[in-house]
Amino acid sequence: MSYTIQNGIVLTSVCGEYLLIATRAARNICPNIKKLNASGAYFWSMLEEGMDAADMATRAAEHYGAPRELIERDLKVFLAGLRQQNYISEAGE
Amino acid sequence: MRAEESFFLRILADYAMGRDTPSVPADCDMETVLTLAKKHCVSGIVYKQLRGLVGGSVFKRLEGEFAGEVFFAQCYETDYAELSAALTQAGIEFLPFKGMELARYHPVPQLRSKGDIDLAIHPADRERSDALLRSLGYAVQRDFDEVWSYKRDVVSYELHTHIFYGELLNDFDYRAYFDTVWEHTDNGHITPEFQFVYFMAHTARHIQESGNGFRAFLDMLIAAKYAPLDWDYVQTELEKIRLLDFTRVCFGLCEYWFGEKMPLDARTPGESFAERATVKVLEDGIFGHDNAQNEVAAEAKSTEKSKLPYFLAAILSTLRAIFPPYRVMRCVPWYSFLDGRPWLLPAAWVYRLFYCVKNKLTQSKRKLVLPYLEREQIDERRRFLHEWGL
Repeated sequence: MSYTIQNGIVLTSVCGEYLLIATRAARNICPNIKKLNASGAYFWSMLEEGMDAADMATRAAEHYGAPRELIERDLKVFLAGLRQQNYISEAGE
Repeated sequence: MRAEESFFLRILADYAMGRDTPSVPADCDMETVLTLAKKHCVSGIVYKQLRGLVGGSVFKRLEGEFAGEVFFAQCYETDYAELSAALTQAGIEFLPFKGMELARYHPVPQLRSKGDIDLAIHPADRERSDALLRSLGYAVQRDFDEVWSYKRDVVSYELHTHIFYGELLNDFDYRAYFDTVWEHTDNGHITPEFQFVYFMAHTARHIQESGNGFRAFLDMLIAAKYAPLDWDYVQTELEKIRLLDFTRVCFGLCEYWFGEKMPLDARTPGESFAERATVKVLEDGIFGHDNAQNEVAAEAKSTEKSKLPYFLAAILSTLRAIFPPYRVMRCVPWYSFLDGRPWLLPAAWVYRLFYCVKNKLTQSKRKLVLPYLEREQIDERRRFLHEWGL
């Protein structure tokens, strides 16, 4: 499954904290600010690269040295939350 | 100074110097610290310094303020990238100044709050830049006189054909001096030295007219520490524009408040002046608009500037309050119809007189009698300005 990032969403890191910021038109459909933890920011960077969910899980499992199933479960929750708040949509949606 | 005020200044100094703030003093009421942070538009900075030291509702509130500041900073960054590209493509030269440039030297630029972005443009580009901004969807907030303002979404711009307006107490022509800004540029920015000299003149104007909060003095400390300034040049220029004394007083206060050594032979303030300046700056908040102490500011400035005996100056001030000159009236948004039509001035005076009588009689009466009822306060304010080196 591939995802498209809503136009105008920017991930910014300030003082070691990660925030998704909705700028311009994105403000009308997404919450203005969403705080992410470091894993969330890592997942987001992969979304920015245009990776699909399966590849993201593979790379994250390697990165964290964690079981792929565990990563897949967390990633699924993360992506569902982002979709629900319109930060991303399924490619082709 | 109360414990909360000292702690608030300590937080700002720690931020400026890149230090952690070690602990929250036991006798410190955090509610007061939060109020000060908000009043001086430095809540994000306070969050950065205290996030590991506070919890509960204090943490939550500071975290919210921090996120808000980061949000606005990102919106400004995104929008400015678009606008600056569009201006460049259209061949319209521009120079950012004030908050956006001061933020560059901050340890965390996103946490230097700003209400808008100020851009200097050439007078000849006024119409073209206006057309461009309108075509990009910016709503016009003000489109007359020397500063035109625009807003799109949460982002505001001011486009200036001059970067200094108004006068200070001395007779130096600041507007003409700062109109040379285009001769002091480096790679699309105003040189750090000219920017700093401008910042001091702008601060002087705020202090004369209303006030300035601690954010301005924090900017001063940060610029002094991190901006690549040629201090000999800065000193020469400040002397030329008659603001070297003022700068030394401000630097002395920075040393008193933040405990950090400042350049240019900072003048150590006397205890009495330091205390009164501290009270005023604390009360002023960001620009002093809500500080009752500033009610007499305009009268103090006009009587000082007129150089006439007090009562003559007061009468002149009253006449000016009833019959403001054309150059003042045309800058008031609802009298902008006067621009280029000075013969309509008497009609505007009559309209204004009726409007004031009908809608704000008490306030208008107070303004007219102020020079006669509050002479002591006005004289006190004039002395205070002298102590600032103005």
